Amino acid sequence: MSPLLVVMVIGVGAPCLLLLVMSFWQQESYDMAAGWGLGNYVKFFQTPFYQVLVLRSIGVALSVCALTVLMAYPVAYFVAFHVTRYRSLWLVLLTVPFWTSYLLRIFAWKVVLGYNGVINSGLVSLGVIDEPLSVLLYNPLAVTITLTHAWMPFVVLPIYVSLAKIPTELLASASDLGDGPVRRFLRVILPLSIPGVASGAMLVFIPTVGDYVAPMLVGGTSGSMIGTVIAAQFGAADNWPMGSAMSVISMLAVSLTAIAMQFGIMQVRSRAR
Amino acid sequence: MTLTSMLRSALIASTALAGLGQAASAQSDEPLTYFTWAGYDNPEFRAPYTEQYGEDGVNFAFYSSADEAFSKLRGGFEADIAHSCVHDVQKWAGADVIQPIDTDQLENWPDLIDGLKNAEALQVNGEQMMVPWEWGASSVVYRSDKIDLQDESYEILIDPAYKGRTAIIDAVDEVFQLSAILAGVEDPLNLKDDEYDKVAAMMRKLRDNARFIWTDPGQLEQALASGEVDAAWSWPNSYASLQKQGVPVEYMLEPKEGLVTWLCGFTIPKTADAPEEQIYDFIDALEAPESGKALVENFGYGHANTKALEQVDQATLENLGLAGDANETIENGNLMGPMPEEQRQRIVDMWTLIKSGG
Repeated sequence: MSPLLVVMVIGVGAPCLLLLVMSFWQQESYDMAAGWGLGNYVKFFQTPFYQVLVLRSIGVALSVCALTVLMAYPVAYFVAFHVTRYRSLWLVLLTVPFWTSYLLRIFAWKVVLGYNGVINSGLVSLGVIDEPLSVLLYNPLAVTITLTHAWMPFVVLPIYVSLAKIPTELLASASDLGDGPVRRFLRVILPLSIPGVASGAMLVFIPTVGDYVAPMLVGGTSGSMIGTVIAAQFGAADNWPMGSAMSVISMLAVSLTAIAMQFGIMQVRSRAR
Repeated sequence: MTLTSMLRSALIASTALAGLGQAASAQSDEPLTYFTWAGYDNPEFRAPYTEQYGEDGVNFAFYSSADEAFSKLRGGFEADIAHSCVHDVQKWAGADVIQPIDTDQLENWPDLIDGLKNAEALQVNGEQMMVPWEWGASSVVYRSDKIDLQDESYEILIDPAYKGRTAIIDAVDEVFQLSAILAGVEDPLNLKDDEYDKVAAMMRKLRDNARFIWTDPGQLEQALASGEVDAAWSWPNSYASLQKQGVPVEYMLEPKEGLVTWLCGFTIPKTADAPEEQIYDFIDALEAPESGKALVENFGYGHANTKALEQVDQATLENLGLAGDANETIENGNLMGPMPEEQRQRIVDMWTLIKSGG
């Protein structure tokens, strides 16, 4: 067995198996009773709100995906085709947000969007509004904004790599054969950069769907996600089996969505050809 | 020698010296671990211990809720002293995570308020499981410049007139007491089957009226100071600190529903491995009159030592609602006492869902 395989089996395979097994256990006052029961799953599907949370998490994560791709693509495009000198410096600069801790970046958004935050106090002093807006913070939109900012570099880099790999001869031939800039982009550049978009989108979708820190700090009641409730099961609620069952269900839902997403992206690609 | 390397060697030398000095004065080199909420690391709360064991004589481990602490202790987390409250004692003892306390080893024990230290809830099978340390009331704090109150009542938190301008706490025992009182439940610590729905409905009402559910007093204090919220469920320390900042606030001390009272203190986990003497010295230091005075003045909480309360001037105590008999204050309020484990589990599940929007 290769060392990587050993690490994967111990670090990923075993915990997943443990999670799956524990999801069939039951919490009985202080102790967990081992066994094979579907009680936790039944409870999950009997509580419609849990399903709402899973759907909301997927919805937020998909929006974050779409936003990061839309915002990252032009940046990656610019660096790949218009930057000729200091390209690596540009790439390093793009990762600057990552030099600050994730938690601090979330708090920074709390400061920006807050009641006395940058946006509100700016608008008030400009006379645009009389009272600070309270709709900026504590909702799914605030979570989406925060996560989009936090995960942007993860999308820029893969898209950049796939764009940089496109041979310039292809672009030149497209122009020679009569394609204008728009058609050249749609018929040559976009299809060839789809693998970068797909991997960037995956890199963002999977971690954001289970995020619980951002929802906890900027999401308020309406912006909470399934990760928040799972975290509570392993903390204050002290019901690990229930938390495991929720995790298993979320993992399945996330995998299905991810597969559908990949399929959709590949469809776009083949149609573009 | 460069400047940085000079600095570094100076630093190493000075810490080594400090270490020597400490080793000479303390009986034990190992710091003990105190498992508590953030904020309780205030050095004024343990001056006598520091004199004996030095600044480094204690390590702090923080938790965000007593339930989290329980989970960790159950998982084998090593702590020498755990800060817990009256409603935790039976549960923690039942799950076998704490051990009996030998009160003879505490010099300040005789001075502790009788009603508190002899409370039944602190004992299991006739053995003392918790040493009471601090007590007080949770209530509503409000901006006195924005709200003109005739009668003090918690109903302000569900008043549609203040929708989006209130805040409630993310602490299941407190939210539950508050909701149960507002829902008109007779005995919150012994909920009847048909009362769960009423409590849940009240929790939702409180949630829907609130701008946010706070987890950190700093967040609440900022929101009150900036005018983001006008009234909130809070702890006395937030009231004390807002007053110090000059924010016009009032704290409901005579709400018509009665105060929500609490009592907390120290337990010794089964996982404790520091020398017994050191553990008792630490508890004793926190129970000392001067530590108690610092606690009252910094946090606005009551202290369990009668001599500590005697050292604080009467006006301060009255302002904080601590002037009366401690026992009566606690008993006359809605004490967050122990509830049956099954009920607690249901309430915890209920709150977990409701605070997430369910």
